[in-house]
Amino acid sequence: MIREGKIGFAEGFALLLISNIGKVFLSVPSNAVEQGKTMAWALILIVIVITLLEFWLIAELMKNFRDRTIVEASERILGPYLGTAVNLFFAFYFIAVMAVLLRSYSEAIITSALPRTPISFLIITLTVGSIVSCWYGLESIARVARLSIPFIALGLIILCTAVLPEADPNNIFPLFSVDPVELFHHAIARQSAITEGLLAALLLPAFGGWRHFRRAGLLAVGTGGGLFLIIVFILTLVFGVQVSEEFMLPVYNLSRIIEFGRFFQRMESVFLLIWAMVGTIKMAVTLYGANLVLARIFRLPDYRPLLWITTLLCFSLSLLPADLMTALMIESDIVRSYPGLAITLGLPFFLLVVAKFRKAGGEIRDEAK
Amino acid sequence: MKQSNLYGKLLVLLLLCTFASGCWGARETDEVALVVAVGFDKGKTEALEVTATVANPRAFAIDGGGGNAKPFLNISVEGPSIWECYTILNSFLSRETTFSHTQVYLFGEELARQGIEDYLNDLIRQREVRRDSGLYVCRGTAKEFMDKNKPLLEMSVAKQYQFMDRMAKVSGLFHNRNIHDYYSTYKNLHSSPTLGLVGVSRGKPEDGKQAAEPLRVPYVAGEVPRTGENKAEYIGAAIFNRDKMVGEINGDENRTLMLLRGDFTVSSFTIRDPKHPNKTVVLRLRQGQRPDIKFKQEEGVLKIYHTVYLEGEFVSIQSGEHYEDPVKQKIVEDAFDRGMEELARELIDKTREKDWGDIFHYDRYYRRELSSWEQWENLNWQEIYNNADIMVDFKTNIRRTGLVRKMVPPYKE
Repeated sequence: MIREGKIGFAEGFALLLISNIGKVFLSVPSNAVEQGKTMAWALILIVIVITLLEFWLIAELMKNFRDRTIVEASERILGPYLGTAVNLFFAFYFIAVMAVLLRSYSEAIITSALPRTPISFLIITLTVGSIVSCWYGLESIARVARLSIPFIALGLIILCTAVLPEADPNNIFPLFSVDPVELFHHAIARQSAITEGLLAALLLPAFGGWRHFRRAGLLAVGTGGGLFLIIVFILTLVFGVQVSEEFMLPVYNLSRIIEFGRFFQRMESVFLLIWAMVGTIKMAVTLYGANLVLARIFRLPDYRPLLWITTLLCFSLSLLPADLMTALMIESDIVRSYPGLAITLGLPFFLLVVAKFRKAGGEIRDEAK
Repeated sequence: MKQSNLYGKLLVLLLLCTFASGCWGARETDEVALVVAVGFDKGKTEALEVTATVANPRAFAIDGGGGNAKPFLNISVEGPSIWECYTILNSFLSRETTFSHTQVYLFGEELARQGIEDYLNDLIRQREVRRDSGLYVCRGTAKEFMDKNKPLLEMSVAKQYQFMDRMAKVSGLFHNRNIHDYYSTYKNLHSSPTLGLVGVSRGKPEDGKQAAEPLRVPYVAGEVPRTGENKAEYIGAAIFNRDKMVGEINGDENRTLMLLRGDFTVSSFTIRDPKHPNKTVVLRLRQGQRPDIKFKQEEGVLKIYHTVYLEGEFVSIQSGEHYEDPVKQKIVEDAFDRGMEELARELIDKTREKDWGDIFHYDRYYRRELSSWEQWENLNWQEIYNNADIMVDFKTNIRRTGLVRKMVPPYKE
């Protein structure tokens, strides 16, 4: 039996929130503006609703498996073979997300701060950070997340308010410029796949109750979505649609135009710290998720022996794309698109339907209320 | 076991200290040459001539023999692109040049008239180039301007460029724009971008230009009638049609432009005294609130109702007339408003006569009238602007009288 330890509501919330906002610091807000134009804010509103629904579905699924993880739940619902197959998809999804994160964060660091550092060195550094975090376990990662939240929040508040003098409210007009069906399509196809639902379902036994798990998850996904909405909205107001679409690192670009007089400038250094905090925790928890799924599939008493294997796999996968644009294309077309959605939304929904159906047949009983 | 754990942790800490304290790209401050200004001109043998003003650290050294060393050096290089010139520059300097602290980028007039998109595209992708750096057009060549710009009040030319932002705000005669402003207008709007105009002083205006009329400052950079050692001048604006410079406006036109756009901060205005035409009244005014712009479609013609709000104080009343009295104050306000409305009308007519397009960025507000992105993308704004009926209304409120409550006339002899 793997002992994940116990985390409180605030720690769980912080962990899931940081995991959710990791994308905001990469090119995802620019993609959202490209897809939604002046209605990018509406696109994100739709994304928030879909992701909340996604989490709610997983919470409903886990309602009858309150002291187990989604790995045991899928095995009980679908049986050992099909259940294991589904769980392998979950594990592979975490590994793919981790590989993409490693590559995109490393490339982003090269682009913004360390242009002459070899990518392999950066990936190794981030990987070592993730391994050490995972080695110390969930409690340590969650507590670091909890401690980081005030700094991240303060940094983001400063960032968002400091760029307001550059904002032009006219940039969000024409207000209702994009066909709602098209908007809905983009929201589903490009923005709605999140790992936080699966992650929370893996951490359920550590949460200290299903209600805590559901409340922390919904709040984290909602807050993360809200932050995403604010960033996209401010990005559109400050740079306009055309310029916002061009950015590789939109939040970094936002931080570079902050200027209060001659002395309060070059805020990107503060932003880089926040970015590093979020990135490290996001990667640590994703790697932890991948290992936990695999350890539970193989019924290992500890996930730590798997760390080296999964990390090496993530490291190798992250170096496979020939360039950054290919890595981003993999992220937007696979990880965050329909294949990703099939795993994060489709499979849990399938499990829920089967669970309801089979429960009606009397085969699955909730053993741990 | 415990001890080996401790050693392990210490080793990790030591390794972290070693590896986290530096990186492959680390450059010590004494290894780099800080470029504070970059000028672009048409090259004689190559497509481009880049002039860089490099800060000279020897001049700032407290000891070590700075002596009479020049605080900055100008170096010019010709090449096919900005970054090729940068590479060549690094081939003969002892330090690696960096644009991280560059305050301004200047385009020579000839190059600006050819189009600056290629060079702007070169700049914005580069990490060292900051979008909040100033972007100016130079009458004549940027190289000449940079060579002759010798600020007397500042040790560093970088500080002078930084202060130009403040000076543009207190005079309203110069048009301080940065890369972000220009690029956002160029990419997001259909209207015409503008940039600040700088030049080398010739000491006198072109024939026929004089500031005899109140409210007029008919000079562009290089033409201000003045004396003084530093030959650099900052006044007026360059007008662009997409990325090509197509014209320039003088000091008072620039002030009117900023007022109409809502970018105006504060300035002093001299008007003829309404009751004593041979005397003047000086007002110090600031933008009271954002301009109010409304659109109406009437019989197929777009009508633009533009209201500009100003407020401020009397700086001087030469005649001693009691304009502080609220009833008489209205006479001054009206005279000023009608004068500014005439200037605004003239500037709007000028943009149409010269086919400059909308330099006031009315399309920024007109986008509120549209209902789809395609409509906005395919908008023929130049034609709409040229045919639009624009009514500008100035509303000034003089709120304070300065340190004098009323002028009491002396005893008659």
